[in-house]
This record gives sequence, C-alpha cells and structure tokens, in this order.
Amino acid sequence: MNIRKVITFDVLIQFLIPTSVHGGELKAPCRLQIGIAHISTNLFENSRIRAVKVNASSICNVPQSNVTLTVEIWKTGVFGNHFVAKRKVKSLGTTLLNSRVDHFKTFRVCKNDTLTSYYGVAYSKAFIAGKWQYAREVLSTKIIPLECGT
Amino acid sequence: MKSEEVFLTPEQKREESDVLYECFRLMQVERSRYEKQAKILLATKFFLSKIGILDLAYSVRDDRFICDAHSNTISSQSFSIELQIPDTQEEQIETLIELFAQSEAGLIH
Repeated sequence: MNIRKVITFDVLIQFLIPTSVHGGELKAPCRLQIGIAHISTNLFENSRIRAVKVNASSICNVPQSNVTLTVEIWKTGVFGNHFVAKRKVKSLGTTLLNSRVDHFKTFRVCKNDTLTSYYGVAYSKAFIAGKWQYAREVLSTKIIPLECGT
Repeated sequence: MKSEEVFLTPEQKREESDVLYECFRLMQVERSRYEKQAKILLATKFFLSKIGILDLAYSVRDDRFICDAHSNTISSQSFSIELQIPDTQEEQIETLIELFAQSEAGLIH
C-alpha cells in the first residue's frame, strides 16, 4: 500500500468535524496520537530483554464509548515495507471528558541485533455523540533504525 | 522524558515493563506447553484456550497468526493480536510461542 510508504509529519490528526471555537480557531474534539517505534529503554536497563514497541492514544474532549484502537508495527525493506505486528484493543465502557484511551502493548520481541527500521500505524473508531466516528491512519513521525531484528 | 515515551504515566510505564517481563518469562517457562499448542495450531489452523476470565481463540488467516481474546465480564477490554507468519516451520513455532506469551501476558492490568 502506497500510504504505508508515506510518513506524515503530523503527529496529531484530528478526526472529527470541528465543533468548538477557541480564539477564532475551530478545534476538533478528538485526536489520535502515535509515538515513534522504539526499544523499551526502561526494560533494557534492567535486563537484556529487547522488544520493539509503539504506543498510541485516543484523546477526546467529549465522551467516547466502544473505542477500538489499533496499532500496527511495520518495518522498511528494499522491495517494500513489511507488516510485523498488530494489536487491536476494544474498550467497552464510556470515557469521561478530556480523557485518553491508551494503547501501549503493541510490541515484538527482538530475535537478534540486526539493524532494522520500524514505524507505527494507528487508527481507531469510537461511538461519539450518537455516531460511529473513524480516525484515519496516523503514522509515526520518524523512522529510526533499531538494533532489533524480528 | 524521551519523545517515544511521552504518552506513558509512571504507572503505565510500570505496567508496560510488567507486560514485557511477563511475556518474556512465559516464553521461557511455558515453552513446552506453547510448543505443543503451536503444533496443534499449525496442523488444525485453530486452537482455543481459556485463561482466567479470558477466552483466547487462535487461528491462521492468510499470512498471519491471529489471537482473539474476549472477556467473560461486561466491563473489561477485549483485544486481538496479529503476527506475520514466517517462512520456515522452526520460525513459525517461535513466532507462535511469542503470540501465546503475548496474549497471556496481556492479561496483566
């Protein structure tokens, strides 16, 4: 997919029609946020366990329910990019105003120290204001080579 | 704070570490059980497991190994994990061992 080869420079993607005005500027009530693929440093400092992981959050200033947040890890390659892992989390409850739904369990254990470039892709859906709302794919802002073969 | 960790609260960082440690621990401690499960899954393309309140359904679809986890309780989360199927059988078993461990480690809250 071509979209997977394009890295957007936007970390934050607003995915609802703007509904509020702050200082003359329309603000969307929800956004999807994704981090850069990384080796969990906290884990590595305490042991030799290595895993590549990507974190993401759905942040809303209106209540959202039945949030499904999906995070994928991809690695770059000479003949195209390759899928590595995907984790989808569905929360059945309703969140409060200005709350986040976090997703930080998407990872792959490193098999070796081969330098590999990874990036994350996140997308979501949620029931907001009586309608299903879908967030388009958001990609990590940077691709950083990591000593982690998968 | 490093940019890649910007989302995590101290509590979430602890949970992140717990999940990864537990995953790695399970890959070692439960390796024998996971190898048996992997052979069943590769042969039948389907495998069911129940851990505590979670029902875990493993399957093979297209080029991916998949785990669908559903809770028996109303308020809990459900999740699914998909991993790319590697080429060799040896690699496939190793990938399934990680999938089993990831899915069971994901029960930590």
